[in-house]
Amino acid sequence: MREETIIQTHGLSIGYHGTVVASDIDLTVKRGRIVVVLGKSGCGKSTLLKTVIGLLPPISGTVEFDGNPVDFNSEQSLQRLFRRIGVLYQNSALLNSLNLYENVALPITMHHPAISHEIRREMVTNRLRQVGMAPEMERYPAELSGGMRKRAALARAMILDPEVIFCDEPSAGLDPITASGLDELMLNLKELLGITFLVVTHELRSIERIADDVLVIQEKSIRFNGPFQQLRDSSDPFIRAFFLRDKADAKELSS
Amino acid sequence: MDSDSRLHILLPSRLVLENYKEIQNHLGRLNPEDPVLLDFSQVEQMDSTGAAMISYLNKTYPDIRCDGLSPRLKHMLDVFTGTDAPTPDSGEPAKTLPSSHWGESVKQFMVLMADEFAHVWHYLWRRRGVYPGEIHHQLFQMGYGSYWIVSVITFLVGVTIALTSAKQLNDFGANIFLADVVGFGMIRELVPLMTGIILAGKVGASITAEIASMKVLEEVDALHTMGLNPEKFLMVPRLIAIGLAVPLLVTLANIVGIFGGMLVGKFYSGISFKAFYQEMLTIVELDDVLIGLGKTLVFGWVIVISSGFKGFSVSRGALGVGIATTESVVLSISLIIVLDSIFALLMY
Repeated sequence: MREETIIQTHGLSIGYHGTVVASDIDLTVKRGRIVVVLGKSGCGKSTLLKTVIGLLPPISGTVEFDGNPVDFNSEQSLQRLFRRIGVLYQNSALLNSLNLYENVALPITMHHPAISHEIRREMVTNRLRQVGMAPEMERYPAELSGGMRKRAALARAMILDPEVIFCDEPSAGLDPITASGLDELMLNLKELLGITFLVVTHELRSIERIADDVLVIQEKSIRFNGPFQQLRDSSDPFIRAFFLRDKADAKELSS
Repeated sequence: MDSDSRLHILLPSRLVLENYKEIQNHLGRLNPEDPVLLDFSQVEQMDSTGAAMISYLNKTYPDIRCDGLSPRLKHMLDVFTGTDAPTPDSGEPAKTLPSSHWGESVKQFMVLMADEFAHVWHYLWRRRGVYPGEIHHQLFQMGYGSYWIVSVITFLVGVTIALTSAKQLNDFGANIFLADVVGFGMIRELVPLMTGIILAGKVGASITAEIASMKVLEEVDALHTMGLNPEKFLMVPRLIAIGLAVPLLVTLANIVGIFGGMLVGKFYSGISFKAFYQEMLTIVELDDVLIGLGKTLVFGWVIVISSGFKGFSVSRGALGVGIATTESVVLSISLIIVLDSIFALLMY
């Protein structure tokens, strides 16, 4: 597997309407790895994700995708980025007016209308099979559980073979068994298809299971950036507190 | 008073919600100026109500002392009334709706309108960017979904306007001119206005609620990251559908509204259907029908663009969806009335 950088940010300041949520973020994502961004609620994890996927322009700094800087003012540049990524949203974000088949097929229908109906069906069925949702393809999102919707949304995110899939709180609202199944799915996709994942979460069990590299954001800046093993062995009191769920330590550090 | 000259209050064994009245009666008689000693020695049980009362006393009475607090009770008091948990950053600061800045809002509305015309033109030219079958689906929703209410309302308006005018005309022996009043009034003014208002309430509200919910549920973001333009993907089918639905609805409304007037003419003023029709044709021309239709088309597009504008600018979750939906109906109806006045000034 190529150990090349696929996403890199330099001195990134992120936020809304000029209000900085986090700053000086230097993030490096290597191809074929699962990078987890973690931190306390409201620390800027989801804002970082929105920025890296091109939905929110940074306040300052740059985002590079496969060595090319993303120009947030250029529709063409953003379209180039969108073609190479898939996103799994916290709410799944499946279109409620379409059934699962139509949802997963949406990127093909809209961007590649020349692909025949039969081939499209084959592509969608394969993806839904990979996430264990093929039997449900005629059902509508409202008829499915949260875990099923997440799986289907993952199938949609993968449909055009993205190089990177971004996941915003994939385990949110799921029971431990379903969440574990989703983690397993990501690991399989990484192993089988070499897909890179950038996962925003604060589910410790999930992090332990899937993370190759971890970025920890605390107090508007990066607290840790490196391999998961290094994080585990870290003596940093905040990280110890985060992993041991030690409220006393965390309180002390916050004050 | 005890030896320390404090008012000694022996608290009951159960400092709980069930005993609230009894404790309140006991403590309510205290004078805030008096030094008080609260004796917890008998207290065995305490709940959040009891803790809240103690906490309240501590805040209200400047000179209060607690005695006999066991470590367990002290811990309970700390838990119930303890320090505030740190407030997490909200991450995304509360965004104000664009409508809070009039100038900016108007600019955004105009930009959206210009974009939408470009998107419709682009779609008609290239036939891309709209989900297959969506125009038919929207046409069905807007046209079939609205025809009965448009029919009922315009029929009643036709009847009402005819009854109101018939009385005056009968007094002057000018019964037959009822056909002119109803025909001209309905075709040029009342059908476009009423159809516009009904569409604003029915179609506009539904468009705003749908787009706003999609925005809140990240579906709009998902469309962006799938490389689709949500303003085109969601709005173009609706703009084209309303363009197709309006002529059908207006034709139906004209027929039904005038028929209402004809019924009044026949049974109130004694004008036969044939005489009514023939008299109406002496004053109503094809231009009037086309002007009425054109006005309604403009109203229809304004409704869709206003509704989309409010839907896309939503924030603040479910509350925002409700606010945006209400605002979209108000905005659409206001714009319809303003545009109708402008049309009237230009045409008469």
